[in-house]
Amino acid sequence: MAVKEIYLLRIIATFGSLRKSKSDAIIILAILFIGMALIPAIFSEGSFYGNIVVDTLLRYPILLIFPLLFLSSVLVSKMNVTEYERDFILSTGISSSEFLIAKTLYDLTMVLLLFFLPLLIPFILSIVLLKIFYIFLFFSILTTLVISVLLENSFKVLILFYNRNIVRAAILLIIILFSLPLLNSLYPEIFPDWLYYVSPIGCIQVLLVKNNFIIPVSSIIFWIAFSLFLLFKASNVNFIPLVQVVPLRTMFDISLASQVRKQKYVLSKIGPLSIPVGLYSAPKNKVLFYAKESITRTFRFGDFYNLILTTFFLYLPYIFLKPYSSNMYGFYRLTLSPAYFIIIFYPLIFSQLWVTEFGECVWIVKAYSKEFFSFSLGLFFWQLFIALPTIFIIGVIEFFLNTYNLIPSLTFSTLTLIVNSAFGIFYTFWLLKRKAFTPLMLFIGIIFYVILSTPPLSLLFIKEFFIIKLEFVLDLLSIIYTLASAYIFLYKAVKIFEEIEV
Amino acid sequence: MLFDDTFDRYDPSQAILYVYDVWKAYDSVSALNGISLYVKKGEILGLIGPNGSGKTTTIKIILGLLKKDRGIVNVLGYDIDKEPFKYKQFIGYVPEAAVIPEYLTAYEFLYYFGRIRAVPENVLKDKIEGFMKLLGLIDKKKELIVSLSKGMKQKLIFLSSLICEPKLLLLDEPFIGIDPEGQYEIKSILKGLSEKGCSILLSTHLLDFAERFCDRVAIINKGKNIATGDLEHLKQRVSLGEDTTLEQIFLTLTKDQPGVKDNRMVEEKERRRF
Repeated sequence: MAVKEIYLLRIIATFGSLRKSKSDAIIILAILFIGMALIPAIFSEGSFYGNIVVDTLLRYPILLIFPLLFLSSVLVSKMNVTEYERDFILSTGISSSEFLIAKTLYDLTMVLLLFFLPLLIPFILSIVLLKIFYIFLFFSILTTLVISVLLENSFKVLILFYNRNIVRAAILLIIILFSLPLLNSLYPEIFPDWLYYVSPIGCIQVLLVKNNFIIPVSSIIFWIAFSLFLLFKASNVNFIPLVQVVPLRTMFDISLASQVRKQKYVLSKIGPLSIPVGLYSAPKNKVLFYAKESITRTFRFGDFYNLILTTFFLYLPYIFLKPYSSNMYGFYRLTLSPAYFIIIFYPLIFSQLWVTEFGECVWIVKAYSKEFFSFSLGLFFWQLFIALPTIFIIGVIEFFLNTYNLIPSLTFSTLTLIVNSAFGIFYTFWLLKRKAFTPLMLFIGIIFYVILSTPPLSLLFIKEFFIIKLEFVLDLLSIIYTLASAYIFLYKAVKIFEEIEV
Repeated sequence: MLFDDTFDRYDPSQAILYVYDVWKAYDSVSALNGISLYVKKGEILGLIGPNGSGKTTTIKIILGLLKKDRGIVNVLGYDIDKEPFKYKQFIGYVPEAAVIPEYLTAYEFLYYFGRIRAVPENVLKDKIEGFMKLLGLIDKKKELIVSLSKGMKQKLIFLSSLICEPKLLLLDEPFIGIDPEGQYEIKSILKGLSEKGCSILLSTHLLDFAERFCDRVAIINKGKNIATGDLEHLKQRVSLGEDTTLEQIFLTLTKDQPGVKDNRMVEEKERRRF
């Protein structure tokens, strides 16, 4: 069995860059400390602070979004392997099942490292202190992550051999099943409580709130068994002649179909005819030109569709979730929809898309134009163009459903999006300069995103507390922060872009 | 037009590689239109053809990386449809413009591919060191691949194809980026392997090299072979005289068949379907 070797090869190929830049390893150690903020909550379970944390976790189970993000990626992509794997591993005598098992183990390792490592210290502490609530919370997150990875890998293989639409329908069904607690949450008088037990996410909520262990744990065990069964079925399929190759730098790819379309660009750069016509004719407004180019390409390659699809599928389970600790209303009333937390991560996803799809064409811009600022600004508008309508649609839906407060939500999300989009450009060029996309860089990206999102978020929190006198000043501060930081990021991005060697 | 006078007379059971009437279409656009060839034990067969003529597709089908639509591929007596994995342990492969994991050291790269190919651990270390000495890479043993030159990477890829002591070598443009000295060393190794009974299928654009190095040459165009044989045989085909070079033969045979669809575009079309 070559499973061990393939697995180790992937791990070393992913983290090998740390050997070149040892200081980067510190970032990984820092991941461990992100979850330290939960420790006071674990100690003070039942207190005011503990309740705020529990309530926020229930309302904003952002960690649960990521497994679903993985799952949703099968809607639009196939069983992908990296280029070196196709040429050097699949061309050897290893079987499909060996490869699939190794890949699944690798994915599990990565997903646990990315999404569970920050929770590791609180998890151990909750076990030591026998805090049952937190033990189950962390365990449930862990389980959902595992189920998602198993399902994703299985479906990616099965999708190759059966009717694609049937498989896609099955995935949609699973997502709906995952979201069933919504129905009960929305219309408790019509839909029964047991719908919670069908969904792993629902099970977690039951475990946390209703003090009922047996049924939800059985349900989670069923989901694990089901996903293992699918993996077993998938490992019996010879998928090697049909696998699709992805570029090396997107080996760790958290979502969407960003890996699918690189080849089109590789093709499009062959021959002078493929160079955008505007680069010859020197368009008058290069910002508009680059924005238009990016938007056209996004439509042409279906990113927009994928993005909207993914967003709404991710968004659905969270739109109606309501706080359980109702007594907290008197103390704080954060009226933001959890959906906006997805928006925060939009630019991060864009960065990946851009690195994959446009990265191969950077040489065109470098060779034919020196308008790097226009180029950066064009990309910035591209990001806003895609994300703003989504925010607006979500806002309108919520307004009509009277679920969340529209104005603070839109203010928060738009300002955050502007800052993060500008940072997204900066981050993308930085990735291109490094010529790699490793998990380490994803860590760094996430940390920065969280930090960047904090100032507007904090201001909004304060605004919620002191709603009357400071409102105008805080709004002004938020806007100044947004504009200043967006400009600085774009300016820095241009400097980095000038240094990129192609 | 008979593309190979010897093909129909050849006993498939004697061939190390036997490809017969293989067809492949991507999304209804033809890439291979009934290609047939064979490679005998210890023979070097050159595969030449214009860009997008189907050389890489043929090699990938032999390797089981692409699924053929029709036809027979036998490798070392294994029908690749019935035994899709076993035969691969006897194959070495150098891909065209390969990407290799850049954050492994040169030694690790060969070590892991050796282990994946089930080379016992106790012999693997000496084997890798011997190989690296052979192509002057021993000093680079502990260096990350990202810091190696293009030629060195290509040499490394070539060495990885030898690690399992293959009986059939499939080389897709193996000399890209390698300096003349390196090319000479690799040619010597290939000659040595051929003398020891290793069969080689080599896709190349270097016609001079193919003329001097290969025992036979298959010229393919539009997804099928238009002529196969040794140089003498091919000279007779074009009737241009005794001094005719392979380049002249190639140009004569392929110029009548313009309008080849680039297979990369065809492959891309296939990808888009998913």
